[in-house]
Amino acid sequence: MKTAITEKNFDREIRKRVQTLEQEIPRELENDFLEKLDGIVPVLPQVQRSRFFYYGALATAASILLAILFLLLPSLHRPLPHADSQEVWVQSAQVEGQPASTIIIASQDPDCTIVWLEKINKDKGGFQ
Amino acid sequence: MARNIENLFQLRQSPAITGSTAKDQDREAFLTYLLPVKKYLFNFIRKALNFSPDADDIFQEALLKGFRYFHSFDRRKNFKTWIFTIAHNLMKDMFREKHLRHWPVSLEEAGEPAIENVCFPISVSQEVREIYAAAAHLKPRQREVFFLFYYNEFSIPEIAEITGLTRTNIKFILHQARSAVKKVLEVHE
Repeated sequence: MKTAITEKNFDREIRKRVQTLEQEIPRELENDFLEKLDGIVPVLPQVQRSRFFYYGALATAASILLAILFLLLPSLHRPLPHADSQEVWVQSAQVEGQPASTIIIASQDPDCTIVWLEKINKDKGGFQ
Repeated sequence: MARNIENLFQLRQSPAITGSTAKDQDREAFLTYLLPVKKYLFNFIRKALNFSPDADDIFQEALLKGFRYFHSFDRRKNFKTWIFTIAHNLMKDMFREKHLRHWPVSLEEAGEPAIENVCFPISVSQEVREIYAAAAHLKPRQREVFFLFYYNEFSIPEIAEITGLTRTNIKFILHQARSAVKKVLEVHE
């Protein structure tokens, strides 16, 4: 009984008809294949590394780069200008045109920096 | 006791005792995987190549290549999909080669026989022959996807894996193939 192919039964009918024709592999072809198989040398696979290996390598490379950058950073950094001598002579210090009463100097470092000036106490006269 | 039996079994399986080499074991494993698949692969290649005489060569080459690279096959994956991928690539190479050799002749004209010249077994009915005649009008890629879907019953994701195309692309090719076959078979609502 022939079934007509329609839009509705298309997939089912095509599948059924296509699967009807199935041929056996010819004996000669199979024997030939088995003979040739003896001459084939299997290719051994290369070592398959997990993706964590590659992530680890990437992290190591990044940390080495960071370490190099960290070591080079001080030499790259521009030094601040500093005084040539440890002794600092203050000849005059003025605040708003008046002589200063107090001079505070950062004394731990030879690079002296004047950090604060105060107005002179005129009553006491000059530096204390 | 169980441990002793297990050890004995391992000894019996040992290549040193049985005399089998690693290659023999590979061969046995490969043939075991191949056994339930090879008939479907053979028929698929023949159908996809429009029953061309090249189909036998492609089939044999696919099996030999499969054995050569059997070590790279991930045993957790589907062997059928893997071996069909190898066959697909060989067919693609064959079409490319023929296309270059016969340039500017089209792929269809490059070496596929006319379906009228194909000798079907007598048992094959006319309505089955009609399907192959309709499929013969398809482009090689359409025909391949058509038979992977209808003959081998691969799913869309599996066909995408075999052919290396996207699922959307496979759906589109399948739609084109269906339309072309319907047109030849004059399928109506």
